[in-house]
Amino acid sequence: MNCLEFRRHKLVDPRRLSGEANKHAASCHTCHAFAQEIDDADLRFLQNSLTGVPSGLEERILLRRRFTPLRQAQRWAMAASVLLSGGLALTYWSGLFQANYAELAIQHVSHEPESFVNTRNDDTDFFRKALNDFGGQLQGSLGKVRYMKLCPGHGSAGWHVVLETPHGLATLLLIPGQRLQSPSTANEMGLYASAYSAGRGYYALVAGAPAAMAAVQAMMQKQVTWKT
Amino acid sequence: MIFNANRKQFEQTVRAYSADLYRFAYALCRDRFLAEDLVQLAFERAWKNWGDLREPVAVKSWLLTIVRREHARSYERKQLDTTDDDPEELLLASHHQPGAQLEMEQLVESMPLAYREALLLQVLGGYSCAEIAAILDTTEGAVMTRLSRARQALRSHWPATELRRVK
Repeated sequence: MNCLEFRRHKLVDPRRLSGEANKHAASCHTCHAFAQEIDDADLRFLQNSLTGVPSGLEERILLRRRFTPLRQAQRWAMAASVLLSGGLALTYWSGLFQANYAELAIQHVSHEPESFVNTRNDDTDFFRKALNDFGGQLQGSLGKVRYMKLCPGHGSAGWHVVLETPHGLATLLLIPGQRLQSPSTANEMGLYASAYSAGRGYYALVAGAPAAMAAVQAMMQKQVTWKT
Repeated sequence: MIFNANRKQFEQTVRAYSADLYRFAYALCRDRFLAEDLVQLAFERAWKNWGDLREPVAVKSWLLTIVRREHARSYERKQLDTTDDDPEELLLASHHQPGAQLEMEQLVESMPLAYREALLLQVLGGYSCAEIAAILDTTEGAVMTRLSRARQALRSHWPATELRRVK
């Protein structure tokens, strides 16, 4: 890859560079500096985009929705379609059982980049309670809790947690209601993930390097005991 | 029971994504009141069509698409600035520099909507070019061009970068 190609890739999608592109940046000082400038500009743009959200927005949306219920005909149509598509749904769910949950975790994290910049519910006690509700007991520290958000998933909601560990930032997803047939791992977009059955469903860890991934997983095994 | 499940899922979605949608809406229209209206309208439309939602995983991109359409609808009488002109030909406010934040505000505001929304979806939403193309109902090539030009505009008009380069 030459400098021109590298710059074209970096300008289009800086976080999804190929291995070849990363290798070029590591060996070319000019392109390395260029990449740094693009990353800095993206970060500044992201910070600028993280506008303060008006307080009570969620409640106002939900309140408005309560006054616009689904029409009766729509309800019957929905119920009928659910019944008729029962067989299809079974096929769909059986397909989900074969999904790579580590890959799904990386995709989810890549769609929530603000989780690495923002702080939200950065409260260890809150994390301890959420983990306990999921079926895990925290025996020691997993690092500083920076971010916690309830994200919707397949029919349920899971906790998206960002931890500041000695090995860097790591994401922990606690997804209830789904058991894994076996642990899964994935490596995409420069992120490494693994997923394991535990508690009321499964958890997935996502980190920026394989060593960090292994270290965080070791911490999880050491510091968390599972009820089921 | 199905409706209760739908309602619960909808409420979880509102709590999870309303902030992101508001930020996206605000970045599109640069008006706090209009941004909230757009998010309200988007969720209202989403709730009316909640039964049609086939892929819960794609709910965020579905909602972003609705916000974008509502924004376009609110300006449907106005010609949207979807130009693909070269950014160097754009008039970007770079002479007045009261601070990096304001500088970035001005730069983002002066950027064509087509560039701004593509960049937002990638930087704020984490979407790939193909996913952005689907949300914006355009081609992947067009998205790549817009992203590239948006970043060139950011890079060439950001004073902090200039300072670092001088150092």
